[in-house]
Amino acid sequence: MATETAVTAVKFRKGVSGVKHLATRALMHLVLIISSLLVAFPFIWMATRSLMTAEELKRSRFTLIPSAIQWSNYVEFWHAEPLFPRYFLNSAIMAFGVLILQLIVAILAAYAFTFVNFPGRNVLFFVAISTLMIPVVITYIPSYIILSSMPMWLRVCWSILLGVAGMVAIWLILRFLDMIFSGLAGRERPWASVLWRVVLVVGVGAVWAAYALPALRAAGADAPTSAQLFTLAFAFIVYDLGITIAEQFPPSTWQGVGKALWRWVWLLGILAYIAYRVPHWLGENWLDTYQGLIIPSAVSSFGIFLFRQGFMGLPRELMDAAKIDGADHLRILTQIVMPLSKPLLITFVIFDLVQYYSSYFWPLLITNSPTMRVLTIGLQIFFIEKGYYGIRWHLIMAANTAAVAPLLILFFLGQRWFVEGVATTGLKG
Amino acid sequence: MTPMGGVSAPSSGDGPSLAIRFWRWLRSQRLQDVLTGYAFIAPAFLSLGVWWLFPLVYSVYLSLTEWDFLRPVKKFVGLANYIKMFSHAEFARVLWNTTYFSLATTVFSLLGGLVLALILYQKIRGTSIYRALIFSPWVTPTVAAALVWLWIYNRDMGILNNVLSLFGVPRIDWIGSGKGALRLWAMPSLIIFTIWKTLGYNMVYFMAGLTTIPSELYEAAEIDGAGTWDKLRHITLPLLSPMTFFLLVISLITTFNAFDQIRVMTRGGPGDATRTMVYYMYQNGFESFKVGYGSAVAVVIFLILFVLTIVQFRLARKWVHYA
Repeated sequence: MATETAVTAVKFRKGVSGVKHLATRALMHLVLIISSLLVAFPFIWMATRSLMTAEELKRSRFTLIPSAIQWSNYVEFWHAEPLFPRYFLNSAIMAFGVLILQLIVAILAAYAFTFVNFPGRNVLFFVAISTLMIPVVITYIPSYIILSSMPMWLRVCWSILLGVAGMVAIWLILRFLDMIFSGLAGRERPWASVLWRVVLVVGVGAVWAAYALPALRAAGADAPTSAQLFTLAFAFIVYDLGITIAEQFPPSTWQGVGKALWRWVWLLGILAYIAYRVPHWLGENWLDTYQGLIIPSAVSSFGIFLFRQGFMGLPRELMDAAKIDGADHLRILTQIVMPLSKPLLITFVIFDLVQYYSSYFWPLLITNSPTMRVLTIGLQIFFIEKGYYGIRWHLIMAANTAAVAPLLILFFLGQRWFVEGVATTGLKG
Repeated sequence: MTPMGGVSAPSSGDGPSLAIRFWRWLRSQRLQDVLTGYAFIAPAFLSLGVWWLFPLVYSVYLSLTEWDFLRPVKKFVGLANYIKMFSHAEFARVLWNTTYFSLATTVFSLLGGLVLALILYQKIRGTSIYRALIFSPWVTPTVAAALVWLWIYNRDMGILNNVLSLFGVPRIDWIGSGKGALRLWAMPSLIIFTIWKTLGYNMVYFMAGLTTIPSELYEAAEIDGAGTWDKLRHITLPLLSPMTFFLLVISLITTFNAFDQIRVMTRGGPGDATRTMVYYMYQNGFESFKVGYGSAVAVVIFLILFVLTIVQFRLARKWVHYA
């Protein structure tokens, strides 16, 4: 009896709600349409206004479509502020620079906190995470003071970090090329990875001998920065060749000794040279410079937290198997952990790029000269100096649309990545 | 998990040579782990130390001085900056502005995000389009969006007043720095802008939170005769509370730190109507070059946020249900 009533009750409710359903669905659609139109409206307004003439802007109150599309507005704002490409470049440099540094720093730390047993691990992790409680604004005045006269030891530290970042970048390129060439040669020819590297060394070496060597011979440590940087890059490529050759020999104690010796001598040598010269290039006053924009944001506690969460979810058996095979931590990190963490990586990259492309407060504090302005500051200055009080709103809208477009287009193309990335970071946290 | 090779003192006598044993100790898992561990966290801790921990301490020290960035000697004045801060009505106004802005934005942005998430969760056709549109403001730089809204809020030519005037509403100077500007509307204008900017973010997080609620609960409730409102109150909201808590904390901190839109749209004005604590710190520290006083404001911001977060975590025990 009871079940009969229950089933009837359900049927009855379903029946009645069938009608209610239509009304509520229509209402929900209405709310959604209104909300999304209201939210998207400012962008639409901005885009349409960017294509009108100044007079039409003042005259028209509700017209959505310009009477005559003025693409010339986009050319005009370019002329009105010829530094706009430079602003965009600065924003890109800042965003990518911070991204690369943050990735290296956070991934290394997160890996250590997850997979490496060292004394004080939990306490140190707690300290790292507790810095999330520090609002960034309280760091601004002291950071400004530190940047205005960077002590030598700090410059050395960051030179080394930047050097490591550079080596990671080159190493990634070499790995990528390795994938191509070794893939072409096939598994039966493991010496192919040595062969193409030899070719690379010979080729780069020829260029180096032709252009950089004379400059170095002439001026020594005062040679142009590009020559010195090229030399360092070349040195790293030679180092990589040596490591690859060492790996071709069967693993034995002496092979291990040889490889370790080669590795440490080269890396320490390169890093020592970087520590010797780069502080000189960076200068003492980091205000109004790229390194001033990028370095203070080099560590992201949130990134450390995020990557650690992700790494903890990876299967431990892979790690243990690799350790038994004799892999060191760097190899485990790069060949096992990283390939498995691609979604996390993409999420973090998106977050960082959006955040630092939009960055305004920090650049405002430390940059002064027009050539160092980032896009957000450039937009605001353009607004105040060149378009304020309704004189040239159409140019402002054009500039705005140009600034907003890259991110918006990327977003609409890959919105699933964006939105799902945002959601998954919150679920675990 | 036994470490590979152990740490053992090389002893004389038979067995592998001293050199090889030393080499093996060097290559032992234990030593590798310790060295690698510290090496890997070194960049992070160096950066944390120099750019976060040291500035925190240094800010406290600076707040006890009077300085202007130029003089070589910082004058130590003890708690004078704090006394000045708390004895003037100026700071009370700043505190009120910040609270008003933060609370209003958080409450309405979370509510709106929740409502939209609940609607979108019903799997209406076109979910991803709606979601993309509502989320899009988050992707844009605050400064660029603020400039567009300045135009929308413009008293004579802005679309908002144009629309309102159709209904006979007199033209309001929303951002007002012109003559006879009503201070009343500046803060609500900023609040509306910030809600617009953060709505999609909250909505997306709530949607993710909704997916963690098992549908069997809803079905069971329906059989027991629960209506929509009951389901909301007794299933959805409680199970969504971890996400709500997370978004609440994030939103309060973010709105507390809001700066870009204030500098672009109102510069703290008209008068001091939109001067929040962070903007107050900026004005004192970087516009008037009162480094000591600015640092004191920064320290107070830190303390307030710190206490606020701890209070929230304590209160969370009462209302957040972890499944």
